[in-house]
Amino acid sequence: MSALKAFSGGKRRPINLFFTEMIIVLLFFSISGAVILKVFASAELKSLQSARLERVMITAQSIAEAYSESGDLTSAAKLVLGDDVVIGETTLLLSDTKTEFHGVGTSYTTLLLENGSISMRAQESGAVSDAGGLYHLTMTFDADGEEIYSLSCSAYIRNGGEER
Amino acid sequence: MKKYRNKTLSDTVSTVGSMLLFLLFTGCLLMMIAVAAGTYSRISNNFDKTFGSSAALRYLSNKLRSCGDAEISEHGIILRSDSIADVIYFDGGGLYEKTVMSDGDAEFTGGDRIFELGGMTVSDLGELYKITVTVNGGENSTFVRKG
Repeated sequence: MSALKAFSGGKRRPINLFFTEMIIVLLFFSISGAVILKVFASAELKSLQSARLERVMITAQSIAEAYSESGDLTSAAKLVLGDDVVIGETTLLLSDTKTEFHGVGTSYTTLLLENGSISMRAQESGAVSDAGGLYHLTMTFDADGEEIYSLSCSAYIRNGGEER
Repeated sequence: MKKYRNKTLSDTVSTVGSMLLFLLFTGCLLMMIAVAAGTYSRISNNFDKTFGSSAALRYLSNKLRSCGDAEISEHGIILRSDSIADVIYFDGGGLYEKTVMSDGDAEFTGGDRIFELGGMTVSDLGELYKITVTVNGGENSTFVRKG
């Protein structure tokens, strides 16, 4: 009690201005620190996202190059991503054949990249005639539920792949 | 001159409190500088690893696409077009390039250092070229169609 009495003082004392100033300064710098830490965190996140986008772009371009050569998505994906790439279910939709080509179809395939953090949706459509097959591939890459990159390419395989 | 003989406990607590606050502020500031340095270092490493290798990959891809004939060896590549030959090779932590006349000295020596890399290989896969570069221990590859 005597300590408390001594602290409060027997008579009224002027407010310790230095103490108050320090509290205000500390408050200001705490808020500034919180803002700066948030900026650091978002800068690092943006850096990681841009690196991921760059990797995805290189992967997509490599798959497009390999696909343009073979016209086969599975072999192109395995060549670029390795044999252990996770290829999801392929859905094949065949439309009517009343076109100038003998057969037209569209297939949808899902691939998982970078331990499943990125998924690639591939929409492949093809039209086959006696002269050969014309195939179109559209790759769409998703991460965290958002589309991050998309690329389309085509392949023309003559005479069932014997000659380009 | 002001004398401090009649200092009370409140004065002492006020002084110590102020000093503690200042100490806390200094500590937070140092911590923030450490966090900032760590973040900057990570961003810088990430940038070098990703964009250093992708810039080299794109450069080599464009060179391979635009050349008339590519001669690949274990030391590097010689890209021939018309009357000139572009010699690109990896040596001593860097990628070097020199342009010579087709009938000139197309050897893997000299030239300008164009990229800082850990390694570079170009392989012929039949109808495709596979380019692999290594930067900061990370390996990146891309494929380029021939012709």
